[in-house]
Amino acid sequence: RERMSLVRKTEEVLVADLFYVFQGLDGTYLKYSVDEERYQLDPFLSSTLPMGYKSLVLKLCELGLVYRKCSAYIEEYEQLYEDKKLGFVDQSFFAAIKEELHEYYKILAQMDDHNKTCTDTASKLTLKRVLFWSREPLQHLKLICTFLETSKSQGEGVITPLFEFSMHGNPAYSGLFQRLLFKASVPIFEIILTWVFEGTIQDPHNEFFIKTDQNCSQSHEDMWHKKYYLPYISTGDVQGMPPFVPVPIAESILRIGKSINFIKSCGKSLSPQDAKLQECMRSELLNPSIVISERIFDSLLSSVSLSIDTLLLDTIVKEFRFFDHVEAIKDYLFLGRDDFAEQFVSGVQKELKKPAVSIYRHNITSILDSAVQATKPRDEMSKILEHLTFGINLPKVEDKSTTGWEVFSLEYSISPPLHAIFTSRVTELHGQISGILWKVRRACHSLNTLWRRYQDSSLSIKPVFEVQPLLHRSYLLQSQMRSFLSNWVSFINYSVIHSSWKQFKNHTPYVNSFDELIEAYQKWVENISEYVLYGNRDKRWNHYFSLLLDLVMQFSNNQEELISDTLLLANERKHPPAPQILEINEDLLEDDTSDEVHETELEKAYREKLSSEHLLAFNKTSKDYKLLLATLGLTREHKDGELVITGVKELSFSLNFNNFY
Amino acid sequence: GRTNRPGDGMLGRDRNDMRKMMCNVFLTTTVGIEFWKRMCKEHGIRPDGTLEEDTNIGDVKDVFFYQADDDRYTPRAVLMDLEPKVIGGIKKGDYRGLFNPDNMWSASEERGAGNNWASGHAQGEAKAEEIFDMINREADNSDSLEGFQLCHSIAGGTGSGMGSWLLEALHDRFPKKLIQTYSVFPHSESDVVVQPYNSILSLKRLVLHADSVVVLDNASLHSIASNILHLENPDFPELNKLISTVMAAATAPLRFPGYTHASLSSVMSSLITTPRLHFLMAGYTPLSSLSPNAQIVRKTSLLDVMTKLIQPKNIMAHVPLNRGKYISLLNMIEGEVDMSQIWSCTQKIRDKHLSNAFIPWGPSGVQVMLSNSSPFTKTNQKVSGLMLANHTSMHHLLANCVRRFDTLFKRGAFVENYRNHGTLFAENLEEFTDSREEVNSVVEEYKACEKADYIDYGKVQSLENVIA
Repeated sequence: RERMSLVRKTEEVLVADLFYVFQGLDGTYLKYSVDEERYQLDPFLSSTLPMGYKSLVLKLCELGLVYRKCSAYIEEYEQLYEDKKLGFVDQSFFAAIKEELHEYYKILAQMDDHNKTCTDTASKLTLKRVLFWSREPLQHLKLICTFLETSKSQGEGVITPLFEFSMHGNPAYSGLFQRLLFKASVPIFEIILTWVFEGTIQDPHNEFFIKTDQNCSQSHEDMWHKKYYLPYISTGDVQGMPPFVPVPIAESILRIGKSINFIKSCGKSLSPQDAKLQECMRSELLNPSIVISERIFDSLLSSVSLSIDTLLLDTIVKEFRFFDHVEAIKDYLFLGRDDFAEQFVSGVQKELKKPAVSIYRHNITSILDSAVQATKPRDEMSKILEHLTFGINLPKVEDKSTTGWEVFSLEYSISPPLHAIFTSRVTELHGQISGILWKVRRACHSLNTLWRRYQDSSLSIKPVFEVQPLLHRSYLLQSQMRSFLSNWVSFINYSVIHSSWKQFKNHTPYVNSFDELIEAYQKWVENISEYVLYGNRDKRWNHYFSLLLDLVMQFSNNQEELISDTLLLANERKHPPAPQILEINEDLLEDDTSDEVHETELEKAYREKLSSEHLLAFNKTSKDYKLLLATLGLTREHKDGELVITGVKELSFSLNFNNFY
Repeated sequence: GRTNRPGDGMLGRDRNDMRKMMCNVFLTTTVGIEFWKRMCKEHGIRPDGTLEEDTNIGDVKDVFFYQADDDRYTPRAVLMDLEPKVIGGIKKGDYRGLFNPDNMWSASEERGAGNNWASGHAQGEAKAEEIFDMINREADNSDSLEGFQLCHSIAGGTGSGMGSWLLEALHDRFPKKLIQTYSVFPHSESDVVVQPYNSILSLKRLVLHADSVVVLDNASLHSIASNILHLENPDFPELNKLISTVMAAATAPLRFPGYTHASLSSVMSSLITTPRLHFLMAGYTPLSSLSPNAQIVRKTSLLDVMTKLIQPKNIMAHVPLNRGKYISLLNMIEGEVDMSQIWSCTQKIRDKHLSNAFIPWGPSGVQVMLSNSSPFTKTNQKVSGLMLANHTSMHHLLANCVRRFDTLFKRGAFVENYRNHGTLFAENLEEFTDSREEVNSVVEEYKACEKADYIDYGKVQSLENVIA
């Protein structure tokens, strides 16, 4: 009995001690051993207390241990907080933890209160009662403690582990962690809301998954493509990506804020309708009863993104006349309007024939203007077409032999904010495509001029019968070259540019976002470059193709000379020089065979030039032309390792329609 | 005075001037009015020259029209006739306000050319200054004149005789401008007995002075009218409508410019390889849409159109196509077609219909171009097409003219009628034999052109010249 009362007394003492222990302090008999990292019972009591009690007491001390751990973490945090090393997420997480502890203190206080005010011995707290009572707080603290341990060891911030813990099947667990997760996520939500409604990033602690590239330029191209980015996308590292923001959602969040910045930079403001949306989304997202899952943003974002995507697309298409620009690029920069191209090339050639250093920009400007105006563009297009300009890229070393043709290029100046679509890469492709098309156009024009020369000289040239064999072959070679060029031009214009333009236009009603529009346009240009530049994959094609065009130009020039020479002679034969005729006639009276002897200077020079220079030039051109066609793979089957290039099959079919080659 | 062109090509005339306007001369005024009615409709211009609605329809009106001081559109056209009747009709008709009255010329006395080439030619020559007042004014009006379009018939007196004189004169006065003609070739069973003479004399000028001749064979026009349009007594209005349809379609790329062929020279140069072989044939589909009681036309695909365009029944020249070769073939397609199909369509057409139909001495094939069309003439057929081709079998048509000429000339029939007009036939009849030879040489060249050794044809010509 005496021993029993001693035990009971001891139990009272121990219960009182446990209150200290539960707050992480030392009691009279229960003391924390730093070495063993646990509470130890006073050695005297330890030897006197029955085994059952002893183990019960030590078991109860676990709560104290767990509490100590928790408060150690919190202390650590408070230290970090003082050092300003904690972000908003961690701050609000620890605030939430503290709130949880606060609940715990409340329970302790209640219990203590109960014990002190209780007069009835029977209802006083016993160790067993304390055990019963402490079960729940213990579990609670243990969960928090385990979580803190895990998250600290993982070192990935608290959101990801919280999210994982909140998925626990046990409602007691998931409830706690949902609560903590929500509170910890609020700062992220706030950042997201500011971003998607104002386009600003308020993220002093670098906790947002969208980052800003401070080094990029102020251009609209960089603003759209570079300035804001998801590190996850480029690095594949999920760090910093909240698990309730899957990649597609993150991308759409990125796009929304980016769009807002973009629209603002276009000098436009957002519609008042967005304010309503914002209120709505804010109240939904910041409601503590929200269940945070991977689908949380699905419905929340869709109306916002729809409204902003539409606004941005409208701004680009309607206000900045995107499609008019594309039409201008297709019809003028890519020479899709034959009347413009023909008029411009024929007008500008006089200027471009000059040495590069002596061409006048303003001459070309006025020729370009009048060629554009002659196409009678619609009023609104006239303004757009002011973007059509040209470049004179003078070589570094001044060289008199460089003509205007070699340094001239048509250009299309892009004005903000369209740089986001016509990026520097796209603009570069524009230039390359236009360059080739321009060169082809020049060759076509020179063949056309040559054809007209054939037409209007054919009657006058008749007296010079000896040129007929060469001239006839020249007609046919001219037509071969024309056949090649017009097949190429038709193929590029109709099968490539026009068809893909139709596709592009038909596709645009289904374009939902600016990015899709950018992609569709890029696809169009890339498709053209695939056929015009053969994707820049095989430099040999471009090289040989250029050689072929040069050959056409050279042929035209040679022929022009041949015809001029011939016309001079034809004219002389028609109107023989008067004084010489008299002389010849006198001679003729004496000698019938003096015809050849009295060949005029012109006759002689022509005869010699025709049989040597002109004939040789023609034969060489004719041979080179055949060789180049074959090299380009147009007139024979491809072998392995030769040029195998998109579109060549179609081209070589059209070219060889009647199996000539 | 004619074809004395000293210094052609030597004078520093600027060859690089921008060309694109067209001046049109009509010697068949009934076609003229039909053609301009169509032009007005396509460009949204009312009979008085004002615009239907002030919207840009992507056309270039100034190729065929110029704007008068009061902004009204006036055709760049000269209408000429030796009989005042038709012109008188126009001056009283709905379109009287459209044309420049100074550009309508008819002989003052009511005698016409009496189906006599020499009379037409002489009358033209006599009125040269009067006529060139009009033409020069039109030419000066066009700051970048590309060429002339002449529409005439080669059988009668006015179109053939005066037309021939005009060809010579235009070639002489505008040596650098292109001359394109739409020439109606006579029906063999015509009531005009001297028609073979008129034809051969005109053909010589078409060989020498025209850059390109679109042959409209009256025999084919009539069979199209009766077989396809189901007209019992094909009359001028229907035939004129056919001709103006061809002219409109052929000039559509100039007036509604697209990716290619926006100039007359680019169309012509893609068809004409050697300067003398420039007699083109035309085909059109769907012809039934021109019928006064046109029924609904079913939806057509690019392949359909391309196939129909090479069917003889749709071609306006009555020649044995299968006995010759195409030198070139251009399809001008108008309407909504999937142009990505061009390649597969041409492949199918070749394998099915044209496997050996092209000349062997150079690369050639079906060329396809897309014409933009006028929003004002959107018809029920979705797609229409014009084919222009240079085909060697054209020599049959020319040889026919030579043969009929020979038959008549052997007997020396009716030649006296020609001596009485102008100076050409005053001394001898060499002009006849000369013309015959000129035409015959084209027949020979077309024949030679069917063979692979055409590449050496220049030697033959050179040799002939030496002999001559």
